[in-house]
Amino acid sequence: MKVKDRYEHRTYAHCETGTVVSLLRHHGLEISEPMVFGLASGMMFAFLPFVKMPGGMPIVAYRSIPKSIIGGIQRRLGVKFEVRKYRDEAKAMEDLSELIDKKQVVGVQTSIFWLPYFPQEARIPFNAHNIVIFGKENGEYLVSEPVLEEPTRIKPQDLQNARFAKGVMAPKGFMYYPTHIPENIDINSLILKSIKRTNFMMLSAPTPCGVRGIFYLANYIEKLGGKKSEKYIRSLLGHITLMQEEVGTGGGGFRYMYAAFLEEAYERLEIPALQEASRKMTEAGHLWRNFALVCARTFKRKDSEIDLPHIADLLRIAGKAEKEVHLMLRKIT
Amino acid sequence: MTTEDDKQNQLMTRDTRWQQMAWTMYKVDDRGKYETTLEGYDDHLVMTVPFADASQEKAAEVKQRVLRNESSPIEFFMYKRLLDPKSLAQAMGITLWRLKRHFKPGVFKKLDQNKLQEYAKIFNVQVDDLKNFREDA
Repeated sequence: MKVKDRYEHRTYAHCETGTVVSLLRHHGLEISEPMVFGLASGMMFAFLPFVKMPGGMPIVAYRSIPKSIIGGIQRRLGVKFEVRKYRDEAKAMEDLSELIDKKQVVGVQTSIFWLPYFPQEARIPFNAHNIVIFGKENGEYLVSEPVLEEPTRIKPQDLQNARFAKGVMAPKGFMYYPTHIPENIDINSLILKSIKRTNFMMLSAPTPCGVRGIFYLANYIEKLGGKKSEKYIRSLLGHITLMQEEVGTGGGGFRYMYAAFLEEAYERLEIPALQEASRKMTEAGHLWRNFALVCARTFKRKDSEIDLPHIADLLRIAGKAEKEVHLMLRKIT
Repeated sequence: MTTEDDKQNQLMTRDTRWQQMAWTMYKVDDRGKYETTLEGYDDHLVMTVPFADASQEKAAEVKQRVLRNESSPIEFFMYKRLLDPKSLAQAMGITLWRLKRHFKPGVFKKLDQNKLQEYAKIFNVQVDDLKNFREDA
């Protein structure tokens, strides 16, 4: 491993892929964010109406569950991360401080609710946010935050609160850093394997997940009228937009990022089908975006008419386009 | 510093914090190549704020009830800090049932210092603000 002397801060679309890429780059492995996202088979869809998030809204996920990227990238690339969890808060902070003193760059799981550098309105109780701690200055930790343009700072006490927030997906002081990166990783040979896995997850997953989940959500939206109050429907549509476009997905609920991965795959492997798949995935991303825009409009204009069949149709079109891409990719893997 | 100044100050710091945020977007150019662009607060369709608005609305509603002595400041600050009963109960490590009891003014007045301290830590206010209900804390 060739560890760089200075940590270089960059912005990334997504917090988990972002921290993993930062850590790998810092340890001398040049890799792009879409590549990590694709290799770890991060793309997914799930709609779980019975599991509620903070705010009473159902889970709508456009990627696989948190921490699966850290696990997936280790399995795929053969890199090793030291992963730690704690019960004792003081011990966790001590260990972190020790690692930082040794000039180690560490990824930490935190809760957004406790991070003071975010605007008050954005501090929702979401527990699986990842940041990179890369130094200490005047008793404050230096933070590389994927959605901030510049590195920022955090007081140890605030960081401790954020690392030990309670609730669903509690971080429990989770932190990680790479300890081993094999020489000469042959990324090209791994691409098709990961595409195959994503394929399997999207096409073969049972109903609330994968491509079937998309159509399930469409049906669910269509049948909402008359069952729930207008206010609930509007905020559900707002929530879907939030999960798709606002929480660091790179636009179109990770579909653009996956298309970028397919394009990079084409450049490396030069299989023409990959380029076509990338184009089609971009189009699917546009369709997703279209759907989100109508949702956002319905949410923001409280007096507008709610055209649920239309919204459901837009979603079905997006789901259909995406399904075709996966079916196409299935042929070449 | 007057409270007016304080409020203005708060708004200013809030704005700068929003301005530091940058969303990375993947966009395709004319030749079909992907590149990343940064979107700032202004050109991004920020939805977190409407979500926050709904919570603030609820907080305003609860505030009236607190003033009429029908609810406790804990419920008010819960909505003000964008929490809901479930996540606050989890953060406190108590059951939902117990948390809802603390919403009753009578029960709230009898809460011991330790519990109040824990609440104050979560809401990022002073214990005094809870006891005497200062909403701007």
